[in-house]
Amino acid sequence: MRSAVGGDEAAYRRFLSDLSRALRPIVRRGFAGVSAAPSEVEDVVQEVMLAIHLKRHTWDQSKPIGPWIMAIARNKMIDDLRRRGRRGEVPIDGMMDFLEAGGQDDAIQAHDVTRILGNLSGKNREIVQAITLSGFSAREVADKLGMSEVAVRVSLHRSLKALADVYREQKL
Amino acid sequence: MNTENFISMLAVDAADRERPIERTLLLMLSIGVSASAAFFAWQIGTRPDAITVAMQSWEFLFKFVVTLGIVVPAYLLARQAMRPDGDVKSLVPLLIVAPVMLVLAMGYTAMQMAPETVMATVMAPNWSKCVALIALLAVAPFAALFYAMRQGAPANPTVAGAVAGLLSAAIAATLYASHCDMDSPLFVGVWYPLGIAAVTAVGAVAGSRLLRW
Repeated sequence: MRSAVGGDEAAYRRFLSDLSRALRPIVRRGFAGVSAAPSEVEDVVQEVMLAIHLKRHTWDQSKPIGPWIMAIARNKMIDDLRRRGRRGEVPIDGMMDFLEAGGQDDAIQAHDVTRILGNLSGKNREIVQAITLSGFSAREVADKLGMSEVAVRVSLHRSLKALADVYREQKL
Repeated sequence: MNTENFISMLAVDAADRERPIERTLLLMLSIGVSASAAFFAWQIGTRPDAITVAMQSWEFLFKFVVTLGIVVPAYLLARQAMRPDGDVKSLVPLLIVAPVMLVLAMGYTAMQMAPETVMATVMAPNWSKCVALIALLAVAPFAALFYAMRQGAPANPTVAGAVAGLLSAAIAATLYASHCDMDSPLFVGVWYPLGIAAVTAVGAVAGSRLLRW
């Protein structure tokens, strides 16, 4: 993580991969009582990863990283559980079938990343799509769209922050 | 979106990184203190007899023991409050030291005085100026520290806002103490805490709304 925080893209990608594998069982366990669908678990994993990404400058590098990651994961999971509680989505056993059809699907889609990022304006959306769907690097996206690499990076960063804002607003 | 693609998106953003949060805090602290000190020097000013008084009266110097006794622990608290895994609780005892000293000094001073003069000392006519100027001088440091907190990821937004308020008010009180000619711990012990508490409360409310991340 140290080299990842230092801006090394390959090291960071490896770190994120390991992180997603470590977070999945943690989130699953956290949502054990409310029987979340796998896609919902994945949404929360992504939300935690986004928070870790945008707030990685709050990790004190003289300390082990584990407790810091857990603190962020716990914080986001509590927010999510609260959000479900307020919507009355915490399912009661007999009501599961009933809920399955309508309400819960909406909830899943409401914070699915693809949908949120779909609301971005033209250029920003194209950049995000080129990176996530085609696996382009910032350089490649820049060439393809005829922009500077810096502009691509700035746009992507802005989109990520916008995504975090959407997550936050849903909780208020 | 599957997590594989999501990771690609974050990885491409790896190079865009902010400075470590404790450096942001220090930077914002120095901006806030400078702004407030400049305003103080321009509009309010240190009392003219500060140096003579400082050599003659323990009460004048004691004001700074108390205010700086809040500034230091409040800064250490701020460093913790702006992190998701920060440990705020273990620093609280450090924060109690200055108020305890102040209460002891108030008791000691009151015992030396005739009972009927105690109330007159507390209710000196410029108490409202004291409270108002502490709040006013806290504005710049508060704005700067609140900004720093927003760059962080506070475990508890309300606490983080309150700590930003406490630290900025303690800085303001330190500046104001060099202007005010009321040195009695009886005066200081009532009105300074009132000003500081007001700013801290504003910080807590603002934090609970604006420091979520």
